[in-house]
Amino acid sequence: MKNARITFYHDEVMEDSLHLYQPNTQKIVIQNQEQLQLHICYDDCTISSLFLIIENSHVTLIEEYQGQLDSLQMQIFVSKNASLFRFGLYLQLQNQVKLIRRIHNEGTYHNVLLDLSDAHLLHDEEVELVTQESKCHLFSAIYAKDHFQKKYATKFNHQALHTLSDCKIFGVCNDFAQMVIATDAYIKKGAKRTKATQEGRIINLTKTASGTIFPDLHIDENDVEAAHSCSVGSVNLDHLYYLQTRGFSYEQGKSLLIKSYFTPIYQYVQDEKLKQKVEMAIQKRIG
Amino acid sequence: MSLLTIKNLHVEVEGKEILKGIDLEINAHEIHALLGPNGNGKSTLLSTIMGQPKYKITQGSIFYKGQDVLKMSVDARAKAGLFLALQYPPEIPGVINSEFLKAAVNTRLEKPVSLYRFIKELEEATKEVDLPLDIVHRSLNDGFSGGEKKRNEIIQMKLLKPELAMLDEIDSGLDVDALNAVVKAIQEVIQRGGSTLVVSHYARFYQLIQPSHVHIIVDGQIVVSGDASLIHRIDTEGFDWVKAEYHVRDKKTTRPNSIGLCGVKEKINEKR
Ligand SMILES: Nc1ncnc2c1ncn2[C@@H]1O[C@H](COP(=O)(O)OP(=O)(O)OP(=O)(O)O)[C@@H](O)[C@H]1O
Ligand SMILES: [Mg+2]
Repeated sequence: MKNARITFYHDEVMEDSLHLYQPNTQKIVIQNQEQLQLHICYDDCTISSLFLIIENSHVTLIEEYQGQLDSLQMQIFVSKNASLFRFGLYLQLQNQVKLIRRIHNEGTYHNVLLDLSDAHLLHDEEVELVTQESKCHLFSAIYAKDHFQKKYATKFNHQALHTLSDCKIFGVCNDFAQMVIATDAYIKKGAKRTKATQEGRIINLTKTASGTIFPDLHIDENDVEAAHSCSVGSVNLDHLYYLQTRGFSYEQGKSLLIKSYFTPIYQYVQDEKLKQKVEMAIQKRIG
Repeated sequence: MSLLTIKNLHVEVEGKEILKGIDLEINAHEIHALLGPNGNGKSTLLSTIMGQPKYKITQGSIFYKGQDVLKMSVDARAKAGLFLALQYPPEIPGVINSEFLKAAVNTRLEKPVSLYRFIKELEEATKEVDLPLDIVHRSLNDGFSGGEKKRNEIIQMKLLKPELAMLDEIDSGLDVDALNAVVKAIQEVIQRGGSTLVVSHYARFYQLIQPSHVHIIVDGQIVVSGDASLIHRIDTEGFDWVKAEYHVRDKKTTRPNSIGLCGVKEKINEKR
């Protein structure tokens, strides 16, 4: 496994070639890499758009956002015979952030993201599934508190035969936070034997928190498999009672149940260091 | 001193009275069996002792080792040594079994249990109930079979070492080997000076655990208490003699199926 690390800084010029400064638009091309782990850190970044092209390679991309980022547009191209496993960590964003992601996928694209940030966030992702057998798996775990508003809009465009999208989004909404999760899967004419599944779950921890889910399937073709399920509710009282009968206090039980929404993320993290980071972030934020 | 003392306990759920004056006393080293027809309040009694918030106590008292249980939170009861193996343990996806078990053990310790010691005990417990160790790495009860859920309850009982263990139909869905593991777990409690209160419908299970006291609950009241010979009689004759001898009707017959049928029943009961 090859490792590379790129950090975007605000206003420092770094000597070495892996620290990039200033230009608004960046382009990264990865070709013919058997296994590459790329770590991109946006530390008060000033770039506004990034192109990432992956050809004939298998790439794990860890993207960390922190600091004064306000908007980033990302365009990703994954070629046939290529795969991208992207892990997004949104931990210390501030203020208002807009992330726009456009993915042109001919191969396999995984997107796993953990958002524990205290920021207003607009996350708009569109995945084009353009060639036969192209696949996309998406898993998001999102936490919102205080008065923060988070909007996650995700669109899958199935344009070819036998494509797959599988989307799971779990959200926990606390205090006065607002969370809107909208997922749309479009199965275009010609995309026979396509499979699209969407699952969304939100718990509102307070009466003033408002989380909503809009899962939508738009199907223009026969012979496809599509399903969606969603639930919005509060902490399950039967579960809480069970934990209490084993000695957990109300608060301990509640925090264990909240954390349970974030547990599935571990199955996507192989890297031990990253796992620890995720664990610590969840522990710190959610307790 | 008695371990548990219940006096004149009345309990309502959703405005309906389920328990109608229960008296029960349990001392150290005793195994109490609670029998009764379906839907007559056995689980309600156990859950009320544990503190399930759905059940509203309208009258009566419960004392555990001299402490007023009704003033204690559910977790305080657990920490004080009460344990309830639920009739239907819930599935909680995302809560990892081993982490849950360790945290549960730690709730009653000042210093967290050493990892070495915990793993050793956990290995022993899973071995005794004959579950593969990988079950502890899964989500709590999530997708477990009926028997696996019950076995997982026994693991909890073994790790948490309660002083009063209440087991609500722990035997349902368990095979012979697992039943023996339950017997052993009960013996461990008794050896520590504790007691158990067991609900089951099966004489065969009671033969294994040899209860010292037996109570029959009908329509929210303990109508008769005695020794293990009561179980034999119920096993062979059912509950009808209890109802006839103690002039009670179980909950099912008080609920009219249709107006006509109800009238007929009233007539029959009048004749009695
Ligand atoms: N949460 C609830 N809401 C409404 N009714 C309830 C609730 N819990 C219990 N009941 C009712 O109370 C009565 C007693 O129930 P309970 O579960 O205590 O019976 P049981 O003796 O344990 O029966 P079984 O042998 O079938 O387990 C039943 O009629 C049941 O429907
Ligand atoms: Mg019951």
